[in-house]
Amino acid sequence: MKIDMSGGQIRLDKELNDLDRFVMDFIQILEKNEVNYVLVSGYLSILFGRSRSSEDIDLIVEKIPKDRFTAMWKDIMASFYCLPTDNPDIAYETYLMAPTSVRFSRRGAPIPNIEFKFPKVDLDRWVLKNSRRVLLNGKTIRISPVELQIAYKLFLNSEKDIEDARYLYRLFAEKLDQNLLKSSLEKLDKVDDFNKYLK
Amino acid sequence: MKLPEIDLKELKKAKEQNFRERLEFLDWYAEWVKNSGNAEWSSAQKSIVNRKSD
Repeated sequence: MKIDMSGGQIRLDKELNDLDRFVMDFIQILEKNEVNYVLVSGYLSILFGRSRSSEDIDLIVEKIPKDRFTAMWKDIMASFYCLPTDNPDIAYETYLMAPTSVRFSRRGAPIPNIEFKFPKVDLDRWVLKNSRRVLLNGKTIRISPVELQIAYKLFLNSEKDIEDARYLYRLFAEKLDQNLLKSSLEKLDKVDDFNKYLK
Repeated sequence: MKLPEIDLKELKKAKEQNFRERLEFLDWYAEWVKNSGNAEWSSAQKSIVNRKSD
């Protein structure tokens, strides 16, 4: 894998699969509307080569005012539809401000879908603020720090999540910020699982 | 149709062994991705991911 992680960003060129294209098409709408976001969880391991797909892509989006959401909604609806409602007021007031998520997928195809949510907990706000920029085939996407995702995947603790954590660790071990990894593992109380599954 | 007696301990052990084997495969796969060109691993990945999303 040729990957450039210098200058505070990650540069990756790859042959895009359908899931990559789905994610990039949606993310370009957020970029166009200058809305901050971060991709978290399972898609990271797929972005970096894990050979599996996913039904949903977890996306944390900055809490924006309703008028900005409504403006962006029009762009989203040009290519996607919203699973719980076709009404932007309901999507914003009833779901996002609850706070719970809404899902966006291609018209007529409920999977894959983007699980779109505003930050719910302090960790969501931290990851939004500390996202890493990836230049994927020259286009920007923002992802969670890999160090945090490794710890978070261990926290989620299903076999699939542990596999994702191990894959990311094996792939990036020499390139990780060891202090951030250590701190993420400690704060999520996953040091023992790290030693059990990833060492 | 009558099921055989099921030894849950034996079944759990087999499940754990299967998980360990998958983790070992992932180590091998991560090493392959690290040592392959981007075109090679991403093309192989694409064929799997796209097949699943058909």
